[in-house]
Amino acid sequence: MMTDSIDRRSFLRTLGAGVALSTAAIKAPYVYSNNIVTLRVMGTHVTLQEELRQRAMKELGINLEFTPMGDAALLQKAASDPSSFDLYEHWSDSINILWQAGAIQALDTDRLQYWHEVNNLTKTGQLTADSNIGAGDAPNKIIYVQPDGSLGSNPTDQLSFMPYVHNVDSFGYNTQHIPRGIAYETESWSWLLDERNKGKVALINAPTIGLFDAALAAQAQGLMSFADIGNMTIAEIDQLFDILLAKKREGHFSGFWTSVPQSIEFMTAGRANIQSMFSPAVSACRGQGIPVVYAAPKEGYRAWHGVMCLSSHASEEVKDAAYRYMNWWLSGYPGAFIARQGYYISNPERSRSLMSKAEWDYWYEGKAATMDLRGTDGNISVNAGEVRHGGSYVSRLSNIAVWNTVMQNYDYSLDKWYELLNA
Amino acid sequence: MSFVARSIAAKVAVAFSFVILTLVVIYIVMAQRLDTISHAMDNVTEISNNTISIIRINKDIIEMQRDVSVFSLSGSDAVFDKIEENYADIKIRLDLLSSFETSVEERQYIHGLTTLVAELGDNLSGLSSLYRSRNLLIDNVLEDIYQSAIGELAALETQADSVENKLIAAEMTNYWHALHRNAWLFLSKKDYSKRQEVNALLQTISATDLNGDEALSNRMNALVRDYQTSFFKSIQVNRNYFNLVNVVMAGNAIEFGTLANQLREHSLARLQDIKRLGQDQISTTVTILNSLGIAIIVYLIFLAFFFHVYVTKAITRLTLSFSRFLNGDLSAPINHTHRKDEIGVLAQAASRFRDMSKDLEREKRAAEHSAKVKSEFLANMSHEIRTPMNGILGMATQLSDTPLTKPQTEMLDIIVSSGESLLVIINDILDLSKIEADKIELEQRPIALRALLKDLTLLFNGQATAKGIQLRSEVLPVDQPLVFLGDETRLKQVLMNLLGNAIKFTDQGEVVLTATIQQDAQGSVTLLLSVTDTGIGIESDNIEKLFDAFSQADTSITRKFGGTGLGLTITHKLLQLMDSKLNVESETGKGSRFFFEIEAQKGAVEPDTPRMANMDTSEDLDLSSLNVLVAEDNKTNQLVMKGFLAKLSIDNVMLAEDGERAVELCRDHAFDLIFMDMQMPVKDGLQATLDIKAMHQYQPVPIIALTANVLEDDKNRCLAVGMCDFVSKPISLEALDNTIKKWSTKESL
Repeated sequence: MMTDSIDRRSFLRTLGAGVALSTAAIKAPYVYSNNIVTLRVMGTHVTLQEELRQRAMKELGINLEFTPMGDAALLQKAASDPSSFDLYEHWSDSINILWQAGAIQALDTDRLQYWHEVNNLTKTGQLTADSNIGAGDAPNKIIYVQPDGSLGSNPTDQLSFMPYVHNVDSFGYNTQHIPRGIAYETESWSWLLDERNKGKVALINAPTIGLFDAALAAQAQGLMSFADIGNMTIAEIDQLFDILLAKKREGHFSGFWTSVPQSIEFMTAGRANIQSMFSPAVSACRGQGIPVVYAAPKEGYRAWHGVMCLSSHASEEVKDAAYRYMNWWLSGYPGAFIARQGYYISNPERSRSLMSKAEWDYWYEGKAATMDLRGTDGNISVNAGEVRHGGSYVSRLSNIAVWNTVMQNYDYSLDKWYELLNA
Repeated sequence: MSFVARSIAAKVAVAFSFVILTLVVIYIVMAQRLDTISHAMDNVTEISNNTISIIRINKDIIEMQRDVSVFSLSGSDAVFDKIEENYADIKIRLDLLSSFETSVEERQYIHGLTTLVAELGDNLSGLSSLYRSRNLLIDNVLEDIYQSAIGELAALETQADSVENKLIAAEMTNYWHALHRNAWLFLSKKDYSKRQEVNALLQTISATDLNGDEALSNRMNALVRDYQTSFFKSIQVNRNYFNLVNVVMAGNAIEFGTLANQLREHSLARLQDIKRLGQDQISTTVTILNSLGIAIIVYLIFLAFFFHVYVTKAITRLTLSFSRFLNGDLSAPINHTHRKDEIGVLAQAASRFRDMSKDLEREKRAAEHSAKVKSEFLANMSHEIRTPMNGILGMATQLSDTPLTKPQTEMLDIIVSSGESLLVIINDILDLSKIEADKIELEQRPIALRALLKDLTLLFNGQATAKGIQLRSEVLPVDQPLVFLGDETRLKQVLMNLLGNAIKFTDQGEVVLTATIQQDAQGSVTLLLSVTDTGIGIESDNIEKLFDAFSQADTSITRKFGGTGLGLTITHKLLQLMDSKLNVESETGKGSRFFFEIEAQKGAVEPDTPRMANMDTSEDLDLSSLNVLVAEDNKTNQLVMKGFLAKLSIDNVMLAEDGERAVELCRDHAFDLIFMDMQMPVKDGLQATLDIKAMHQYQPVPIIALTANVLEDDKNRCLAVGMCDFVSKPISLEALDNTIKKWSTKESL
């Protein structure tokens, strides 16, 4: 989800105009109160949405300052200057760096009101007993603060982050050019390296994500295998890039996109028929009449998990407001809100009552929409009769191949990626 | 359309409006095509400019990316300044590029490029600070911690009271050296394997017991933790830096290159399209223009042919028809009468003209026929009248030689005078009939002017004297002798009419006959003859009617003065035959002047033998020995002839009642002179003459025609069959005497 922010930015720009007036009106009563705590939240556009900010300020009686940034800048800023924020909303793959750099402090499960409702995905790595455990830094492996100060999967009452928003990613393909496959049966990451799609394949230009897409594709094609795809060795990385470089020189890749709008353009302009995609881009393509299917690969998804962290510099006074805000996030409304954007929350049941049955059935149960469903922008985002590709929350989150991860050999892969780009 | 069908002008207008329409179409096609081509040329220029611009921007981007790599190695501010300058340049060029009007597709490309450059700009602003953070961490923070640790350990070693402690300090110092070196290799030299060693050394250092110096241990542990934290921060900043430079910026630059390339290819494709379109346009235009040109030529040829056949030829045909009509050939065909246009109207006019000409011809022929019939009727009538008149006058003449009482003599004079008056009237009517029947043919014989005038004055002197008026004639220049060619009889008739009228309408004063001669070098002469009187004159209103037949100025005049009233009409018409015109000047109560001019050729002078003298000498001839045959069917005329001949002492006269009998008598007898009537039963005079002349002995014998028909034709026919002269009926003794003497003298000679 590292580069999703750019899409969100443009998305919110259109949304912002309508919200501006109500913002001013609602904000007014708090401006004059000196007692109100201001919480500085740094994150991405995925979760730092104005509507949520207004709602939270109103419900919590605190002042919220949202500073949305690009992924790299966000992580850099957080790692180098923890005093510049109170709360940090980002992805689980940034936890290791932040923790090691001492930018964040542990959260007490006692103060997290809905911790007990949070499902097992982040606690054990398995939503259900049958679920796959995804490779890489699954959230359950980095959430608990171990007695030695390191992060591990042994449950403790101290957490490196509060889990909330999450989803799974895969690739999108245009059914005008590639026959529609069957979820979990025929749809495969191997399609990305399929000769038939030569010249029409695009990858996301982000090593933490694009590398896994490419690795899953190479493995599905049977070109190579990984001991642990979530933690590749130097040799594996070399082998993978040998494959990718050869493919690139053959003209297999039509491009490497850097932003969500770019990925939409790749698809709509016909530059790519199949590519790494994020779900908002898939929706946008469909909105423009391009029949893009967001695949449910039989090898499993690439999953990502949102994390909410407390700055290591946060004061006690601010900490209280920060916990209240974190608890608000799991209190139901935000979960229902983001469900309408296609994202899942870690304690879905609390949001269920705030969603219509049709919404719940479509978004969480994987059933056909019984009516047209509207998104948070008020437009119809799902037409009656549509079924979410990949099925229910459980079936989707039980099919995780790998979590977005910053591997041990990330630095090496970064160099190889640069080589790939320039090849 | 019916208007167009009816009008050639409309047809021409419609036909040529098609040509104009075609020309307009050609103009529009040309203008549009030229516009398209001009537009294409503009596009070509713009596209090539844009393409060059894009290529330059792309080159700059590549250069910028290279400079970013250089900056990553050197951290040189100069290089960074150059990068920023380059970026500003790129932005300006790109802004300029996006300000051009281009296709939607190109606009999308340029928009994509602009987005990428904007992102590059954003990244560029983070680049420098990120680089500084990285340097700060690696060169300062880590270095400071390392130096602090080394300093602490150096102090420890110095202060160490035991060798063991010194060794520990030295060992620790080595660890720190190794740690820092490995950290530097990892962070700066991309020796990623050193990370494990850094972690291991950090573990080792923090696990090393500093021999119970708790304060020092705490300080050292704090330094290790600091170092560890800073190392991880350094890793992050390092990753961020390389992510920015090698992933994001490089990706953008590469994407920019890809897009620029696509745009360039797109532009080239567009250029190809434009070229193809231009060629298509040109070849289409050429085809269209050729087709239109050929069409116009064919159309114009067709048009010319159409108008030639449809108009020119039609007009020529009609003109030909008209020409033939005008030449009297009314059988010429008329085409196009069915047409509804002007030609049709013209053809119908021609048709109407022909019909009218035919009617006219028919009417003319009918009129001529009726005039001829009238003339013939009049001729016959006069003939029929003359015959009894011949009898009356002949008998009266013979009667006057018999002893008569005075009253009988007076009555006989009245009979003769009345007969003669009637004869004048009949002669006038006969003359007019002959003129109107075109039966007058003018002779061209020499005429002596003086003799003519003398004859006329002699002829009318008696009448003038009787009325107590003076009659004289004069020739101007005075008494110039002149002989000219002309018909003396007819000229005399004209002058007699005028003199007769002048004397008739003059009661006192004089009547003057004047001849004015104008000669020219060529031998032709113009003669002005005028008769001037001092009579009653004519009212100017009546002058016009003077020459109309049967119309005198006043019918009362006829009653008062007598005459047929045909005199002037005959005069007028005779003069017309002589190519002259009778003019009148008159003043009521003062007199009139009738005059005319005739042009004639001068003639040779004939022996001017006065006729009267000839007649005088002939009186002495003895005609009693002549054997004469008179072929005449009419008993009265037989009697008249016999009487007159007896008067001329000719007693040997035989009579034949028809031509056959005349021929028989000629065969049985020898005649010296034969009078032959023209119209006789059984065999007419002409045939009889031919038969007689066929006899050898009669070839020198004069045969003289007796005829009431004094027409020239008749005379010619008489001469043709061998007759030598003729005497017109009613026969006057004088004329008979003259003729007999003329021929008997010749014969006797």
